[in-house]
Amino acid sequence: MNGIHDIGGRHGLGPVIPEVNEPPFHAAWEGRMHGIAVACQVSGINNSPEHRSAVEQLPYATYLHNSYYENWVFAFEALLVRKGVVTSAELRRRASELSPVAMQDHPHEPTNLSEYASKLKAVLYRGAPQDRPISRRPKFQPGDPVRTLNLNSCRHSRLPGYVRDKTGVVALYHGAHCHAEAQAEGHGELPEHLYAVRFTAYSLWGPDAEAGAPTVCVDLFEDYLQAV
Amino acid sequence: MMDEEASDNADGHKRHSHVWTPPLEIEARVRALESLLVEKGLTTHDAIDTLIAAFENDLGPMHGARVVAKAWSDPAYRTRLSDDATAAIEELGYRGLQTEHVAALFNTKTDHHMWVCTLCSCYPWTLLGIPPVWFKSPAYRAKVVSHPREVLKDFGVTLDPAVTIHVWDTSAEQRYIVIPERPAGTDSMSEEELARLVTRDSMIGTGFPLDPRPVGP
Repeated sequence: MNGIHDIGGRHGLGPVIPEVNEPPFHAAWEGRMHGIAVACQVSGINNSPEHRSAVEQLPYATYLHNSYYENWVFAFEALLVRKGVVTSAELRRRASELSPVAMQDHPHEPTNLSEYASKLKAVLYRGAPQDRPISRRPKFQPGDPVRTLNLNSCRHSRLPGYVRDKTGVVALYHGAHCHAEAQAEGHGELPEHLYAVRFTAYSLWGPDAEAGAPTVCVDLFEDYLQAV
Repeated sequence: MMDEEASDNADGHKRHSHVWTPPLEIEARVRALESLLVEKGLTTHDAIDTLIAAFENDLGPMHGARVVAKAWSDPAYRTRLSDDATAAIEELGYRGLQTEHVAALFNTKTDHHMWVCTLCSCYPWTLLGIPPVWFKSPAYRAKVVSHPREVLKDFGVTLDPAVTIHVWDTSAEQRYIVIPERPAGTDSMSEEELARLVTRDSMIGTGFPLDPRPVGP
């Protein structure tokens, strides 16, 4: 979707501001929101593309005004309501009913983990690989010139706007991965070949490209590409 | 509060009395999410505690730094890392969520690599931990693909104009780690000492490893 999240190449967003000795989370609720999101994903309540898609659907002003984890909270509420896991009324009521006890900073791992918690922890350290077998052979190989399609889906997409309808060269073949679009739409695992495609800065930005002939490599699914 | 006039708050955002609802603090909203999910039997508090503890105490750039230090000191490992980074990283015991598919990008005298996720915030949690706020910021994601040298300036880094910059946009489930060049004057250092020179930013491409030479006149 052509949303505000698709921000590569936009101007006017100000300088990048690094923070010295930055903690993983800046408040207890950020850590809990992160934990909730990982728990939901590992427990199969939602997948990562659904999470990303929910963030992308936030209104532009909200997306830019909120902090990163505020966007996760807003998106998760919407996602879980859409999936019928909770209702908006339940969320509102619960938030107003809960007594305002300070949230505990830096929780410890409990000494006796439940079977469920052990399972989640195991997945955190084992991962959930996204590569899958595929019967079709890859159409392209490193070195092949390709052109990206001019796609403007209103749904979740991993084809950034700044590389649409551009010509590049396949730099790497990553194997076949579950297509993020099918996962975001609840269509399950649809393997598709995945490549890193290299574009010259000039091909993306024309005469306004930064001096020094940089290149940009973008990971793209095969169905975003055509032969040149 | 009922008839609060439209006014500017500290951030300069309008509040209008006719749409005013009691502010639900963000913390209360997160507690509501967690408590309802637990109540419905979909997760548990101890599981969420466990995940937070792992992210705060275990996952972090010290893991990526070990990979870089080994690549600097063991040529055979460097080759394996170049051929199949996912397998080479697993040799050191590192695998996990958001780190299932990794490629290593080797900086040289002539080529400098940087990576970004322009569409969201994809990051190899196992090797680098939770991404810093700047990595997730619209400013970095917007600018680095078109003006990487300007971004480096924001980090106080200047790169020789002759060096070619390659920016990698991790728009799928593939993750990247930059293997910076080994700093001069480190020939006698052990892998452990070398790992202490490797900064998080040097593995993203927005910085360099620390200079081992003592600061002095």
